[in-house]
Amino acid sequence: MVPLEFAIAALIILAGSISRFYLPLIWNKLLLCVVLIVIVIAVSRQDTGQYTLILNVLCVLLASYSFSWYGAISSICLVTGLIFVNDELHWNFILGLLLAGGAGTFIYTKNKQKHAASTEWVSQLYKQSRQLSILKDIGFAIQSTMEVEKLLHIILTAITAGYGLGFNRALLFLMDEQGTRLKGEVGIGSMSVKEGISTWNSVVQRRMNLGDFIAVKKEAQFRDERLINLLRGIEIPMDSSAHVFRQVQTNKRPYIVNTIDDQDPVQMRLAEMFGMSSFAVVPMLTQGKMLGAIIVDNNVNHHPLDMEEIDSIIPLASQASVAIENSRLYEKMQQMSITDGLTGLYNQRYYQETLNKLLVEADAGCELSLIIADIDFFKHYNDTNGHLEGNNALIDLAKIMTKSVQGAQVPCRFGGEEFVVLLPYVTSDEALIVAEKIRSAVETHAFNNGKAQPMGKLTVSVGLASYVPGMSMQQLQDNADTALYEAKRTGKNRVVVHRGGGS
Amino acid sequence: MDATVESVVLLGVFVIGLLFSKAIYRWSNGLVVRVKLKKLGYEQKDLNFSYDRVVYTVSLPTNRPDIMGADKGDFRFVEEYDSWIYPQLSGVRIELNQEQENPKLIAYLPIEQFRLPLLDQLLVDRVISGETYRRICIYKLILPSTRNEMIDEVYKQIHNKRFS
Repeated sequence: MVPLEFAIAALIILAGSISRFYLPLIWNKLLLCVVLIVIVIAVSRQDTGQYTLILNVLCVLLASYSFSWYGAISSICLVTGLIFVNDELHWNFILGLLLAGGAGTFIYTKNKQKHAASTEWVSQLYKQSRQLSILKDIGFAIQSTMEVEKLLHIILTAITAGYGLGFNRALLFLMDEQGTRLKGEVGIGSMSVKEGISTWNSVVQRRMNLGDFIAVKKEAQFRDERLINLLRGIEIPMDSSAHVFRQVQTNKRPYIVNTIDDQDPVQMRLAEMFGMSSFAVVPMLTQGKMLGAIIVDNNVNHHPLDMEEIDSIIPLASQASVAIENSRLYEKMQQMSITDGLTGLYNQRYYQETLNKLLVEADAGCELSLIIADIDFFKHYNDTNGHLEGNNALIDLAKIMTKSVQGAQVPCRFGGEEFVVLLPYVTSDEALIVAEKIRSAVETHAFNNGKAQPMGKLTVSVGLASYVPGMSMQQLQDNADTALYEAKRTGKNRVVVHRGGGS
Repeated sequence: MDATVESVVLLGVFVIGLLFSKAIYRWSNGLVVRVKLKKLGYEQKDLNFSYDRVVYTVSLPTNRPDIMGADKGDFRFVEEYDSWIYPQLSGVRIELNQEQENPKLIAYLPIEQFRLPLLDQLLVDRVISGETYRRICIYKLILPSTRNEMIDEVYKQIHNKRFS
């Protein structure tokens, strides 16, 4: 037969050992200590001598291990009290309890220190490792494109996405060429908590990490239209008033706004437009020059912003600055490679490429005409007025041609004093109107010393040819050239349309 | 029953409880979470998650033959606890455990980085507490399906040819 007291004690121990895990940690600890005390009481009632002493020592050890010196003192008092009630106290017994309390407190302190150090160590390593991994992915991604919009998307994705630095929202501002204004460019993030969590949920469902996301290039487009539309309406003057962006530009350091300053108009505007209550501004610096700025905030989870987290954006902002600078240079070079340096019109390379593309469309049934214009007596103009003035005449003519065309029509400098205009999607009659418009505009334009020309003014002769199915590029050019030659031969300052068909 | 036997039995129950702390912790946490989820009207499959917060201790993509050549079965999901007596899951590790070699740490995920959007919404709406959030995350993370999926993910990332 099992004694009742034993059964109750066993039940308490069993229940305590299991139920302690349903409770928060502090109650879990307390319950385990209580369970051990129950054992001590149950065992001491049987009076098993040294065995009871060991259990009492264990009890104090566990309590002090769990609650430091609070546990040590409380348990020693409790245990001595219990013994004092039932039995005589011995000094060696009290000494044993004190030693156990001291040892438990020592282990507790050492454990706590070790745990804190290890948590800090792991946490720092974790953060650094994540940052490194993000930077690596970003580095690879940035190399994959020279398009500014894609670059910005990659950078902002890295800042906002859960698989990146995990800020809820990021807004990017770029400085204008004069360096006087910051303009809202692009942003990623939601306007409300609900929207933010819903977006996150859909991203999580796809189980993608940053590398996967960047690898899927078709995803690289901005989606938060409402946010971007609002953002693109913002221009922040950087040359006069004092505000948070000026502060960031002056100090070349990030700045955290914990509470909105109602004396700062920019802060007030951001708070009003985007519902920001706190945010951080990170400068995008390259060679000491601020190219733009990134604003981040946590409008969904409201996690407070701290400088350590903000610091992690700096390498990304810096990479973005360099990439944007390179991308702009690349775009500029690309533009230069297809532009005539003197007149600013497209050059012959661009003309040839475009004509090739338009011929494919023309073969599919689209209209296409080609104008070739040549300045009459241009050698005379150069000899009379000098080459510098000749260049000015070419520039003026380029402006006239640019004004005379519209839509998809492409004026180009073919070489020397010869210009061409590609006229897609217009009939030959409409093309003739454009050609005549150019000719008459040149005739009436006041070129410098134009009166000294053999015809009393600077003029152009124009040849026009239209594409007919089956015609080659060379045939179309030859036809326009023949028409130009005819215009020159029949008196100049006129438009001649090639009517000869395909050859 | 002999007094000594009684004492030994009582102490034995206590020691067994301590020895199986982690198992009891996992079991009781699961029980609490299942009840809580049912009360909230959700099931464990409603808890969407991603592996985006996993950090890798090896460079990705890696060309280390010992890692690249390892079978999926050599990867182990290891739970990491703060304490033996008062276990609290602090994170999970994916280790490569090949024969006759020490386990290699491949990936790590701290529990506080395992965030679930549904729970964030419930937390924002103050439907659950931070403690419940943590309990549910622990439950989800150590589910056998999640363990297998995480090993699959790590294996996939190791063999990812994205940059090659």
